[in-house]
Amino acid sequence: MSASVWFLGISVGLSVLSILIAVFCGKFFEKFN
Amino acid sequence: MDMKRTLIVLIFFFILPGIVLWYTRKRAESIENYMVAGRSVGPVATALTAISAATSAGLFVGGAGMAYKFGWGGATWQLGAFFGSFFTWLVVAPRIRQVSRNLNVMTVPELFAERYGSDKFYGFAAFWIVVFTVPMLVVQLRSGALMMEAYLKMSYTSSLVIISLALIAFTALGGSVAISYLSTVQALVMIGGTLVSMAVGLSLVHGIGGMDASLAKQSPSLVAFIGDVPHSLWYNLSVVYLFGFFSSPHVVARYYSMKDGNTARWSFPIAMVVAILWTVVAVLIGLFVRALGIDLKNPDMAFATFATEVVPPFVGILLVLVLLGAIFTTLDTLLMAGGTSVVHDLIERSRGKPLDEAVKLRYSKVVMVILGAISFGLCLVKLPLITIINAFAFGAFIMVLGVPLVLGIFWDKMNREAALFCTTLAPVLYIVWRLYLVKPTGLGEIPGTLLVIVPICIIWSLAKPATREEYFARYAEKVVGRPQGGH
Repeated sequence: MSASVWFLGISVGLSVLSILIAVFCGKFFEKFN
Repeated sequence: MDMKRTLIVLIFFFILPGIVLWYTRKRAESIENYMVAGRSVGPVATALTAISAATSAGLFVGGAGMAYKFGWGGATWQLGAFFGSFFTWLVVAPRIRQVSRNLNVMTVPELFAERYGSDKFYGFAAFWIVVFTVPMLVVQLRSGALMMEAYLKMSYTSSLVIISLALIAFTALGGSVAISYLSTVQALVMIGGTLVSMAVGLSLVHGIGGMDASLAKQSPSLVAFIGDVPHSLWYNLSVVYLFGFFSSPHVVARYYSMKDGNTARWSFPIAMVVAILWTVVAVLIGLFVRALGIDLKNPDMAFATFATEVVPPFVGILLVLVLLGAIFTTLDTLLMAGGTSVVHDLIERSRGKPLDEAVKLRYSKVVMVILGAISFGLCLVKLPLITIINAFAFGAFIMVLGVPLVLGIFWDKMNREAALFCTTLAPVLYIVWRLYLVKPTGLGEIPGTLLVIVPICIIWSLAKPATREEYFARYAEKVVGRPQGGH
């Protein structure tokens, strides 16, 4: 795979993962309340 | 200077900050509001203020320059920063907010003093904050003035006067609350500007596929993952930015201002998406210019060339606003962090008793004006030392603040002596490494110094764990509300 696919893939992947964690892992953040 | 440019300067530096100051005027009257925005900032403002504070013009100019020079290899090291940002927003920022709120502290030196049970941290940590913050202010102010000179065709001195006046008046009068509002607005402008530039750029190079084809035709190394970037440089850069988001005091201060755990939860994806967007656009701009076959003697001119010669004038103006926004949002938070440390950690502690709230607020404003004026003065004289200190600032903050902060809030055994070692001797080791050990070891100064000081901290703390000490018991009781460890 070319560098552009890796770079943009990881960029989009991390962004989506952060959204999913925020939406579905509310309990995790409650530990920091 | 034509009308359009005058209007931009007026709106950006005076009208917008003026409206924010008027809107937040009542809330700048308490010291907690002034210093940590009353710990009441919501997710959007928290994420945008912190990310824009951490993003300077260097990302756009230097990031585009490196991508122009090396192709994708000059971009892929930024993945280190993405993972650093991910880890910071997921666990470090929420924990910093929680600890700082439970301890009721307003600065990093104060957090250290409470965690490690020694007032020495006020002096040591605040000393480094001031020593490195002023050169950072000077370099950012200078690049802002140079930017206005180049793009808005104003003289360097009048550009400098305008930025300094707007910065000092705004930060001193408005404090942290006003900074959060203005940074949010400026960051929104930056988001709009970067999105439009990306769309225009992609259409010019016929998409990522078209751009890659054009780059590969020039040289296959331009589309390789590391390409011609020296491997040691690539690894060093990837490592360095893993730590940047929880080490710089002006960024850490933004985590103190978060309203609650829910704010930490929602600011995480917002910060990630925006930080990644800005970085991706910065490197794409460099790649666009390279793919279009524009020959540049200095790669750092890629951003300026894209803004002035490649895109339509309207998009060019948006890109100027992106740069000015990146600079101003870093400048006001830096001035705030430096000023807060001087008043809260140095002046108040040296008196030995707390200052009256109104007096402290007055002192804070005066100190902001003095620090701003010093930085302005230093911009007018050419002191090479300032540039040198600035180059050390980012790494030094990792050693002095980042390591003892993260180990202290996540690892109970981390002891006072190891933390004191970080705030006193680690910067010396870092400077020695940078000057003498980079070549023989092949390791950059930041990973090299970290490989020495982190094991020292761990071994020292395992041998003499803080959990057996009285000071940790006091800290733990405040943070988790129940006694832990101690004699």
